[in-house]
Amino acid sequence: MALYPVSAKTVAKASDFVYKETKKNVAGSPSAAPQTSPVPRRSTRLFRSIKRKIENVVQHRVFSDDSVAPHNVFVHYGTRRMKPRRFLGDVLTKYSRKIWAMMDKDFTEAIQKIGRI
Amino acid sequence: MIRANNVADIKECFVQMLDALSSPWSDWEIVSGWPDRTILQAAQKDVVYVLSPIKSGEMQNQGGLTRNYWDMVIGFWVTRDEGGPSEVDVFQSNVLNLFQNPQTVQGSQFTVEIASTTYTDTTLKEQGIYVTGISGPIEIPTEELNDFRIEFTVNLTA
Repeated sequence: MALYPVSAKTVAKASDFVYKETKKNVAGSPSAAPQTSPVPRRSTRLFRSIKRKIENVVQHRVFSDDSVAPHNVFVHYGTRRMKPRRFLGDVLTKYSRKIWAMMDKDFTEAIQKIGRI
Repeated sequence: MIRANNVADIKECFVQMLDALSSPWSDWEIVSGWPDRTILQAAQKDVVYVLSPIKSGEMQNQGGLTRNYWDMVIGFWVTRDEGGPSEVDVFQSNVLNLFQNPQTVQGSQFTVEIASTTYTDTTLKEQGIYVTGISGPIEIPTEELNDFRIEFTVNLTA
């Protein structure tokens, strides 16, 4: 039970990090050239579609809402006419090890505080 | 030997390695980077594309040079006329057979030119690239109803 607040805190921190980095990837200048990264924020629909949903205390979901930006999947994976800009996938690729390390550190510190290690 | 942290070298090694494999790999066109409309239309065969690797972490070796973890996408793009879903299945099983067997993937020989030096009958291992795993496939939605795409992510260190 002592680790429960730590779990909640570290998962929230991790999902917040993923959410902010994903937002950055779709917040390009509206006047930027087409097909550049970060994705130019012209209609702002893709930017607004990035959401974070708390399923439960230790399960958060960062996603692009199809109802706001139905074209999200084509931007992410590319089409015949458009190269992919993996605004969410790249965040996980680049930072998953960093996020795991961050969570590992939080848990180790919490366990050390209660004297198990 | 590939240059340190050079994504183009890593990608080129994989392109040449896949290109040198026998059938059914020889039935597919190996493309380096994103296959846009021009490439897809010009291609005479189904297209296998290798995207630039993305650094996913660092491996600290005591007393040695730091190596990096990389994730690299290998995808397959086919139209219904060229085989469609059945060809996707063939690609899928061949990718798994290749990358899940360390001896096959690390021992496949190819020729590659890196920084004006040509390496003949070299292997990924000789170039300092080690495949550590593979994830996928994921089915990619397409705009065209007759297009089919799947992608794998290859995990490697270099």
